[in-house]
Amino acid sequence: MDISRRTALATGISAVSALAAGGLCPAHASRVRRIPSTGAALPAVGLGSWITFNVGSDQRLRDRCAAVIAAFVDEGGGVIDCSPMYGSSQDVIGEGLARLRHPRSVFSAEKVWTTADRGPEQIAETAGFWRVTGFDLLQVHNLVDWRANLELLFAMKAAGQVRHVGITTSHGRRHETLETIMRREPLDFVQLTYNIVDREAERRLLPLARERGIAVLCNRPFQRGRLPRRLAGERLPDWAAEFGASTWPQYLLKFIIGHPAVTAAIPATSRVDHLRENKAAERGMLPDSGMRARMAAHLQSL
Amino acid sequence: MTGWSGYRPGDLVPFSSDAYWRLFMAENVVLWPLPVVAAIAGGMLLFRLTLRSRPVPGFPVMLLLASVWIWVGWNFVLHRYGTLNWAGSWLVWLFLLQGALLCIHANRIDLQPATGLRGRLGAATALFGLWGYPLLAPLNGRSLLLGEAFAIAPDPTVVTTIGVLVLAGRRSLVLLIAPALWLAVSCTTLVVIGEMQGWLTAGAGVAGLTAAAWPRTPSRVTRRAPE
Repeated sequence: MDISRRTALATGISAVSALAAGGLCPAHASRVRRIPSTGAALPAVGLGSWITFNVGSDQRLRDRCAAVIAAFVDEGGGVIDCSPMYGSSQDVIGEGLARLRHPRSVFSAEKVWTTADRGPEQIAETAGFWRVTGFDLLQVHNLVDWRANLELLFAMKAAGQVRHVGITTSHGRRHETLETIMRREPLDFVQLTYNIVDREAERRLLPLARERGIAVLCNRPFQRGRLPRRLAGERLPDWAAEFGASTWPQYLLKFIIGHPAVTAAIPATSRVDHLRENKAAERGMLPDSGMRARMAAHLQSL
Repeated sequence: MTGWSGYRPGDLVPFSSDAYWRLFMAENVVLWPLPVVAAIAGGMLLFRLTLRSRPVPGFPVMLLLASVWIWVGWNFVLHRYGTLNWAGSWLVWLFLLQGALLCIHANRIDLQPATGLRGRLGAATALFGLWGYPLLAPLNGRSLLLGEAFAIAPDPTVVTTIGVLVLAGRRSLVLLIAPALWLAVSCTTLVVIGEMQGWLTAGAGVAGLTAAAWPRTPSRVTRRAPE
């Protein structure tokens, strides 16, 4: 994404926020969050790409992915997150965005997943796949060679080649190391696994992110689809309507983005109807802490 | 890349079953009618080999298998599977190495008749690779077009090779390493993407590998006379 476009994104979303704050909430106004370090705004439901966008050269599946990206943009856009580890996903996203002429509402989040000496080469390759010249966010994937890679990314940020720097982990792994990094390094973003079942991050990392002014992206919001599948036969409680959830995926997403430290959840999907269902979760009411506790308890009781 | 210890098998399979099976459809369409020709020709060759009462030199069959391994590695693993998984560019070496080993050992191997339990198990394993594998797709509710064929797809090629190596006896043990490694990768992949076929592949592989590594009854060993 052209970095200059980000300013426009922030301005646009700020305008929508202002409308919402004034009680003039349009039907498609997304619930947005501020990135603490830069003040830029992001819709609370982004788009992950693990597995779902890795379709190789299969044109029929690539078209399907492009339709998901188009629907995402239509729903207000936000973070699209990818990694060199995700096979052909980067190129698939690049093709989808190129068809839309690189819409300004997309916040491009990528990762470096190699040793730091190969980092610049990999980042350039990644930009080529996305058909862009720079990214809104570059993250160290899964703490790989994190000291040297963070040094590289901070240098790129200082040179104006990337707007935000972050680091990622998943599956609740290496939280102690992540906590140390969050305390020591001037991170803009951290990405970790957080969902209604995997709540380890609530203990230390999410409070620390608030304290340090670090934006939080939450991966695996559905435990790779396991949670919606498990809940498919269960009846959604009537009180879910109080915070605007009409389906289980919305219930699960609203739990995540209802946490005040969370900037965005990044569910992945290969279906347009699921994408629209996910994006609907960022609109309307969000559960407060008491309601979130009730939601988690209810899920445990099933 | 560093820190591999932080990954689990599921982290290293970055694609869905849908994308994976469609790889085979793409290959079958592009290479049509090779999947059918390879299955028929392979089956006829297998029957010709197994119905003989005396050992035959394995040289031509081993060279044929070597060329199939190199072709499948280069064409499918590197250029087709590699579009979904970065590991394809590493796994291709397994196929090239096996191709080289089959060439090196080709002249030292005799193929025994498919007699006794061991021989029949070898023939059955090879036949399963040639004729059974393509049918797994419709049996699992997928289109036949998505079927995996010998000389096109890795799994039937590997299973067929193991079956043939059973007939070659224990002299071919070194030739079982690459097939065993690939089957481990493939079974893990299939299980991770939620395909029960992974266990079937594992079963066929374990049965074939066990039979291949099992000592042949001394009285039944027939070697070529030194030239």
